[in-house]
Amino acid sequence: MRNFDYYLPSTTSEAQDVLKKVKGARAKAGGTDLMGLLKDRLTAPDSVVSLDNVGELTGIKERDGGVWIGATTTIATVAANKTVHRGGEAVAEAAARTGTPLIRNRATVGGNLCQRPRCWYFRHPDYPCSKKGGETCYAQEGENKYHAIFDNVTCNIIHPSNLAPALWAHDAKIHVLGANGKTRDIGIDEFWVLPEEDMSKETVLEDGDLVTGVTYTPGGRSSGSAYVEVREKQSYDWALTNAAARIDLSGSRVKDVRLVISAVAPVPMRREDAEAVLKGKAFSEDLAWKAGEAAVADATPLRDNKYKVRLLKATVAHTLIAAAQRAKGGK
Amino acid sequence: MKKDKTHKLKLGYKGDVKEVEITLPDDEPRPFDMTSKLDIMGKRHQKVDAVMKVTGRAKYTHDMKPAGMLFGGFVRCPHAKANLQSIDMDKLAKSPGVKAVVDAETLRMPTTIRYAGQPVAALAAESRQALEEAIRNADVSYEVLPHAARVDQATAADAPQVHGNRGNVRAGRDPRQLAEVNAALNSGKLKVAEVVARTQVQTHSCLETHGTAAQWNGEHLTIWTSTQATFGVRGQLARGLGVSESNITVIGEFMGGGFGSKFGAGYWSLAAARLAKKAGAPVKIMLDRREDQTDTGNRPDSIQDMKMGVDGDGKIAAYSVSNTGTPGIGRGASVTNPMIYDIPRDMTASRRGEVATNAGGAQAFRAPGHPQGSFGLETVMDLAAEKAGIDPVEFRLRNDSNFVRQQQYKEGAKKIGWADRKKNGAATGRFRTGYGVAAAKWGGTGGPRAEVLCRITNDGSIEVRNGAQDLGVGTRTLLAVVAGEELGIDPSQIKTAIGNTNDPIGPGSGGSRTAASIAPAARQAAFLVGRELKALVAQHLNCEADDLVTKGGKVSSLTDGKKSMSFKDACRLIRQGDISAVGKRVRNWRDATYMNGVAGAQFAKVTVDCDFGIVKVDKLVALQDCGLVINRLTAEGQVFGGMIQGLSYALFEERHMDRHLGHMINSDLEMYKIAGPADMPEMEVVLYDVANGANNCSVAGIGEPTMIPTAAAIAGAVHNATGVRVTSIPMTPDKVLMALEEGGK
Ligand SMILES: Cc1cc2nc3c(=O)[nH]c(=O)nc-3n(C[C@H](O)[C@H](O)[C@H](O)COP(=O)(O)OP(=O)(O)OC[C@H]3O[C@@H](n4cnc5c(N)ncnc54)[C@H](O)[C@@H]3O)c2cc1C
Repeated sequence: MRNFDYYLPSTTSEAQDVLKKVKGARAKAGGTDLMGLLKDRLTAPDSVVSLDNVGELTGIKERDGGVWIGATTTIATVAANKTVHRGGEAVAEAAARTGTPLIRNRATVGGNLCQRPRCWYFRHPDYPCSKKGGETCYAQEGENKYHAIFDNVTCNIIHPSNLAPALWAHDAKIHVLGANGKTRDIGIDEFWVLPEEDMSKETVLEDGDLVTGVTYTPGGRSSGSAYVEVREKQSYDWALTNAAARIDLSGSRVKDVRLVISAVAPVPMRREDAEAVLKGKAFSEDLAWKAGEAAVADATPLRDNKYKVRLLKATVAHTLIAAAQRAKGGK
Repeated sequence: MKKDKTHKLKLGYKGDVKEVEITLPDDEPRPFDMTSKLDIMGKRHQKVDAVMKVTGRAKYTHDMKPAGMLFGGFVRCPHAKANLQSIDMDKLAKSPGVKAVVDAETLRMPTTIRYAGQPVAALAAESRQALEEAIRNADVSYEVLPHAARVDQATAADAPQVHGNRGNVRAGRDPRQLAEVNAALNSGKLKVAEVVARTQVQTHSCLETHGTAAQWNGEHLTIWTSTQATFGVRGQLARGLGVSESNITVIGEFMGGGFGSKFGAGYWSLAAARLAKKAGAPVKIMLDRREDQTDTGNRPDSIQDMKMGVDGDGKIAAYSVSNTGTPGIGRGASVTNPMIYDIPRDMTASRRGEVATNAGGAQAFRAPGHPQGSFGLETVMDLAAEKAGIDPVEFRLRNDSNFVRQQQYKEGAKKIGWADRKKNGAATGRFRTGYGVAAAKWGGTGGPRAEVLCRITNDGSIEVRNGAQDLGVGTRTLLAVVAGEELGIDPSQIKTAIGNTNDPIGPGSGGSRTAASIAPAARQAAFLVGRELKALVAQHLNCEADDLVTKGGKVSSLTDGKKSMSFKDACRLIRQGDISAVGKRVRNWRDATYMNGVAGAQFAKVTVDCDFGIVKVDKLVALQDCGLVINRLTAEGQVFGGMIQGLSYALFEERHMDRHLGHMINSDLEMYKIAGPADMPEMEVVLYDVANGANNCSVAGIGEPTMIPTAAAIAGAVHNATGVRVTSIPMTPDKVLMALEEGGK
């Protein structure tokens, strides 16, 4: 790891000041991703700005019908929070399924959304892959068991954050303090960048941008949400596929639905085509499996990840079934 | 003068008793047998160093930091096949903070690169940062050549050659009886099962990576190293450095796992010693996780092509198997298949081949050749049983005459709930439950050389010393338990020393031989000092030494209850300081033994999530013999560890080699997946105390056999649950889902 200057500000504006003034400064929240990036030299900043002492970025509050989660709130806190469990079940489940207890106690919500992909070629220091400015996506023809089955022509990374699909299912907004000192809200559907658009990053954030928090919309009385993840190991493993759904029922009829799938493409994907299968119809397990089918219809798997198509279909079906179950009151 | 003494022994297990007579020199204690009443041995003893370990006071090689220590490391080649053309050693030596450099020739490392990550130079620097910077900025040029890092690449037409022009594939010879075996298999008279089973490359993934700290004091070299063979390392270093063994001390008091990958001194120890000499300062080299995963050994993979024929009585009548495996650039990928079952020798045709690849070389790994062989053999066993319409447990009872395993099959079936087992594939719905069984055998009754020093001092203290290492299994505690049994003293009262070559010689920890080699020597040492002590007490109490026993912290007469004194008081009779003796391990008494190895069986109960392809192991039961048990707690610990590593092998672990640049692409502990707490099943261990009579403690090793059958038992359970056989491990969702799809489930 390269040496760097270390800043430990205690307010958001102080942190922002450093990020603005010191060229190439990087924010550090829990450090669970940043440390790996530094050690593998995927980033080598001159300065690191720790958010550890910035108390105002931590907390969970109900605000104007939404639930605000501060950027430096730990994932363990989210997983255990009563407000989140009430109406934001998918978010709570996604948090609880993240990493290990050790990781969850350190890792933050902001860091989780800004973490970089885990592709083994990207992370291996000896592979100059296209994401690192090279010419080849080694996964395309190489070892691609764990790679993307959608949008996988230029770069085969899969989106790593558990929280992203869950927050999206709850129509979250991401609050950002820009280098110019102005705050802006970015809809989570507009937060992600495909490799085709910009190979060097995964979000729309610019240098000096600081995520201050997210606000999501909790489900109401006849609404339920769920997050389902499939992974090989039950301790400390990454998702092979995951999905988050929120369903609003009117009687047994699906009034509204959000379905977001992830770990299958470079960015999380809302699947309106699969939502359409359910919308306005009486919910049934059969319909959930049909929605699953719709969600995988345009998949373009690679040599070693064809299984992810079958897996994703089942993941979607079980996510929808769980969400509908909750909407019916079986929370 | 030694006199001989004849002992009558009862050997065996429960209903199967063998009475033998054995004549031994009288400086050997009477061997433990079925009639021995043991007070301490066989009970549960907390590890004597448990508190040191959990409080961090136990110091591992990783923790060593001799004053002035430098950080050593390697420049490594990023290509899987290449010729080293040049390396600018001057520039390397002049990098900021670098104190010493050594080139490949000096380290006798080849300059022909045959796997990605092969070292080409060593250096030592003041800090890790300085070391990393120097390595990053090293000027090295290579002639890059096409590689065959994967088996599919190495076996393709026109494949790049791994070793000169030898050809990558060594096919192995067809056995003489092949034609006859094939004729029987094709005769139409046998029920024949046919299958190709595959196992993956598994890396050792020791918690403590490989590494060494070296320090010279004049001509004397002290080495701290994470090793499973302190004396082996000393010998190798002596040869490699041209230094006499008396000028080298190897210390490995605590080490964080080896599993077979830590027998050798390793190029890192030689490099550390040479760099330390050059720099005039201690040097420590600890490999990082990527280096450890790619360059310190692994268990070879296997492809096992099998046909098994069963006759009308449900007996195996003919068997053919052809194995290949890849040892990377190393040697020795052989698969132990067949093993265990009573398959007629003249009707067994087995062929063993190897495929060389441009990948890190294989090393011994917990029961080398066996877990992969077990997975293959038990796969075809289950399929043969299915073909013949015989229950898998019944099929094993019919084809395995070993008495101990016969009991284990029956007891294990009860413990796992085999009676609830449905027919293969009869379960329906998303979650399906199934049961499986597999068997193990191993040697591990130990032998020379092992010498143990036992010393009792007139203040009543007892010390037991041996220079071999504790692989983490509890060898240190074993010394205290065995000496404690012999002297009648609680093990917690006994001082032990281990892992320093200044103490008496001991074995490398391989073949599950450590306990069975050291324990008898420890017992003999304690017996000899006990005998001297008894002689003093006999004089003092005015009785016969033969009439005295050391038991319960006392030295007492067997015939006269009044003649007794505490062990402590007895020690006061020692006039000058202490009594000591060295016990020397003698050869096993082969003709007088009941069994010269161990028997084991394991059962698995699993639930398969057929929507997600996830195998959840609900329960494992291990039934394992290791001779007479020394410490029930740590013996069980070995069985738990074997099952966990076996489960991890069955479901998760796999080295992935990249076809492009030829690196192990998951050379970490993130994507090299190892079972964690949430993957653990309920586990039950039943130890079989078999008085095998192989040595004076009737003890045999337990480290390795316990990992052999786990994967196969789990695979059998998955088969039973789903009705389809997953013929390749690890059984990850991709394979499970594919098998279900192909099987129309
Ligand atoms: C062993 C392990 C297992 C894991 N398993 C999972 C899993 O199953 N699911 C999952 O979703 N994740 C998983 N993760 C990833 C983990 O959740 C992320 O590393 C973590 O959430 C990142 O948060 P952090 O606070 O540690 O971020 P840091 O490491 O501090 O930062 C990560 C990145 O975000 C930037 N950043 C941090 N905070 C801000 C901010 N407020 N504004 C702008 N930029 C910011 C940093 O500059 C850096 O680039 C795992 C990680 C590990 C190490």
